[in-house]
Amino acid sequence: MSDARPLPEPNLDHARPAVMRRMLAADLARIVRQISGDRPMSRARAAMMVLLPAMQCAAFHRVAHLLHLRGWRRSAAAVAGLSTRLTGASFHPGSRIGPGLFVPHPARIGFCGTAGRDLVILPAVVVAPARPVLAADPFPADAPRLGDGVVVGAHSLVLGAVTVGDGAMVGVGVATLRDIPAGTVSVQRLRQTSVPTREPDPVVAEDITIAQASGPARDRSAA
Amino acid sequence: MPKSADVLAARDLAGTDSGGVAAISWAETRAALRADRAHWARRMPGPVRLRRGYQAIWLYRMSRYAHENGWRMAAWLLWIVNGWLTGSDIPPSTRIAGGMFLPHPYGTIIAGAVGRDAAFGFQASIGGLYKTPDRDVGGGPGLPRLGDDVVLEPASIVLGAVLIGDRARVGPRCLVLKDIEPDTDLAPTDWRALPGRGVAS
Repeated sequence: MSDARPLPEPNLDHARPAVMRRMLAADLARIVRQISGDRPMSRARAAMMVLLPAMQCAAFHRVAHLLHLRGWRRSAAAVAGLSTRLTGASFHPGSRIGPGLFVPHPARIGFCGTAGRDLVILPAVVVAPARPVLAADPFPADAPRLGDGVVVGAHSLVLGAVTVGDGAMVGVGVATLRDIPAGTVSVQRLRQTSVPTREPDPVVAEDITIAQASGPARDRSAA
Repeated sequence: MPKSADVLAARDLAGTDSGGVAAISWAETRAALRADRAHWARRMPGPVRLRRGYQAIWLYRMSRYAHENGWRMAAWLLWIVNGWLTGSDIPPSTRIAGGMFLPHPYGTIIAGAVGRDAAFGFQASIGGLYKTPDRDVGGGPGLPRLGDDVVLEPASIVLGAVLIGDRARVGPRCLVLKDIEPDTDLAPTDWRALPGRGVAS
């Protein structure tokens, strides 16, 4: 768990196996930190995190990226295809992602872009250039660029040559075709309204009434 | 909606059988695959037969041919193999005219009718039918019908008995529950910045 010292991310040569191992250690440390919530965890329990889908996904992508950078593009595509089959996340092997990648639920993810440190990708995310790119193709120049500490929310989409700034958050279900400035939390404009289509269930309504009647009383007794 | 030859696509899609229309012939299947390869060559260079997406379409065409000629078990097996191999769900009851472009088949579901020279992006799906009873999922009971030269951008979804006109383009992550006129461009709803959060506010 070598997450204490920050890695000089822009200078890292991702084609070196030693760098790949350090990145994977950073990914594992990120997963352990995220799951333990910074509470102490036994080494055995931390070692079990290696088997989580998040770590499988990170490992597959780091290996595929290394192969891609060394010119073994077909092999990298094969690894990426295996990752798609086993974990459900299809990362383009050419996408450069900094240390601390965290993909808790790698289902239905399509990623082709560059990202900085501490990227979080939630399920059903599409980050891709506007034109379709296959895994064996060279990395496209017009892919999205994500900064450090970006969170890509579930069911969201970043399409085209878009820059997402440091610390920005792509909200749930957001489809963005334009830049997101650093630190911005983007949310989808909701068009739905809640319309009471049914009569309230009498049992549930009674429960709510009881809860409302007794709720403040409990608070007062607790205080 | 202009009448095109693939109002094939506009045939009633209530059942899985072709409704008295003659079963598709082997020559028609091969012509459709030729049109597929021509469309792939226009959009993406390289060996088309090695692409997973083309293999998905090829398996669908074989499955469709078997289905239309009464070999239901063979059609079903080909559909299963298609799911294993390419991760796409294209049932043999779906009608797809020639010239289908599907670069990323993983996770795509195509249930309905598709016209000529369609292009589907990553995880673009059409469908929306609960089989029995045929329930409404928002777009009316039934399956979508797409015209010719329709483009579905990544993660777009078309649900229900919806008619999408020729040369329409459904934007990324659009959910379509209504008819779309021909030559229409759909764009997704824009996002807004959450106030009080971040540097910009």
